[in-house]
Amino acid sequence: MNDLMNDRRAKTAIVAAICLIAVIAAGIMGWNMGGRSIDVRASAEYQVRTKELRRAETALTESQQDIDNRNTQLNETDDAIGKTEREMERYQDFAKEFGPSAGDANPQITVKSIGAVDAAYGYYKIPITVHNNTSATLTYYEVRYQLTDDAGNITNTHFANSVNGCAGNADCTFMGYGRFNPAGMTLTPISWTTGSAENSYGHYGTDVVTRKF
Amino acid sequence: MPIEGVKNTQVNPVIVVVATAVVAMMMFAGAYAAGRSATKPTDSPEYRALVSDIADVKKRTAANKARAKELTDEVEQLEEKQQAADKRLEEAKQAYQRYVPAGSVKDQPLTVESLDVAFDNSDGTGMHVHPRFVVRNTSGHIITKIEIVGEIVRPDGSVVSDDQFVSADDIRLMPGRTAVIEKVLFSKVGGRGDLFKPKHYYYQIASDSQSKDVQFGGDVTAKVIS
Repeated sequence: MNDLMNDRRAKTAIVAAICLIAVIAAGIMGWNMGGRSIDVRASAEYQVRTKELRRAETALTESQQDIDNRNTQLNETDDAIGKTEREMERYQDFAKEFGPSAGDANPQITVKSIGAVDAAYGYYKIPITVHNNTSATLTYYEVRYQLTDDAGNITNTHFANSVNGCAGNADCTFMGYGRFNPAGMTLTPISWTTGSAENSYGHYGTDVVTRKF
Repeated sequence: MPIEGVKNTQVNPVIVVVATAVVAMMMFAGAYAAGRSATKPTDSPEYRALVSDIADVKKRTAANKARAKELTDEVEQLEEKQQAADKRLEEAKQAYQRYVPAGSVKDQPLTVESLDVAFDNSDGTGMHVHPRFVVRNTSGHIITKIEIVGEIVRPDGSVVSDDQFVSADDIRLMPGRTAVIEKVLFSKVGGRGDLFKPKHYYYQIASDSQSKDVQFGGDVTAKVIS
């Protein structure tokens, strides 16, 4: 009889153990599946963060745009400065034309002075004194000049010449002679010539001697 | 066959199974709910990745803002430089325009202001045709030589004499200024009633070694010799 009781007790214990395991297993499984059933992406916290990410990305894009805009500005301003400087150089080059300019080198005759006008019978004589820079006698020499009013308009062009000869290294005076009245005008020598030989012609520079009558 | 003296304590196996199942299901349901409520979304890897992304984006934005500030300073400096350059350009332009006023440069380097052709004895050598031009320098440069070429024609258009030069060979004519270019034509090139017709001209500027040949425009017409 005890054997039977023991047998029954053993059977009951085994059944109880199996039931317990089944229940525990159900519990463990329930806990895991419960946890995994949470939809993270649908959760309120995740949604909040998702919105935050969108806002942050917008701010990032704008900050990048800011940088691009400033770089564009830098490039455009740089280009503009380059253009401005080149145009400035252009004007400076142009203006050089109107600054002082030297005459041709080694003129054979240099204008030393221009005398007062000698007027008679509707003719006007203008005495011009030149220095012969060569050591040889010049048999012919001529200075071409222009007469300008106060505004710089040319009112007459003429020349003074001589066939009387000019000794080497000497000063010689000769006449511009014509019917134009130079009163009030400024006489500016432009060029000289001593004949048709080579190097016998040259231009005077802006530093040439002038005279206002 | 039931044993005497022993109570029948055996439980029905069906009841055991059903009871276990019920308890297990209740356990499952309870554990499921408990597991669900114990799980925080904020501990999940997806959430943690999201938080990390946000931090990264914010970091990059901050770096951009710092760089933008540096660039703003550079832009300001460059704009100051531009203002200085603009000022220097204006000065150079004004210095140039003292010599070449705006509007004084035209398509024609020489503009004929007037032409008079007299038949007179102005140089004392006898009656000759005496054309007298007043031309304005509209080239924008200093002109050093002007040679005007014309012909003399009868009223019917037939040519009396060709290639008549009226020149000023050595001058320094500033931009915008006028010059009187006249000549007494020495041979018997025509008489009163004929017309002096300007055709073209050569002019040379200070920076060139050669002269240019330019045709007069249609606005420059023949003048009767009087």
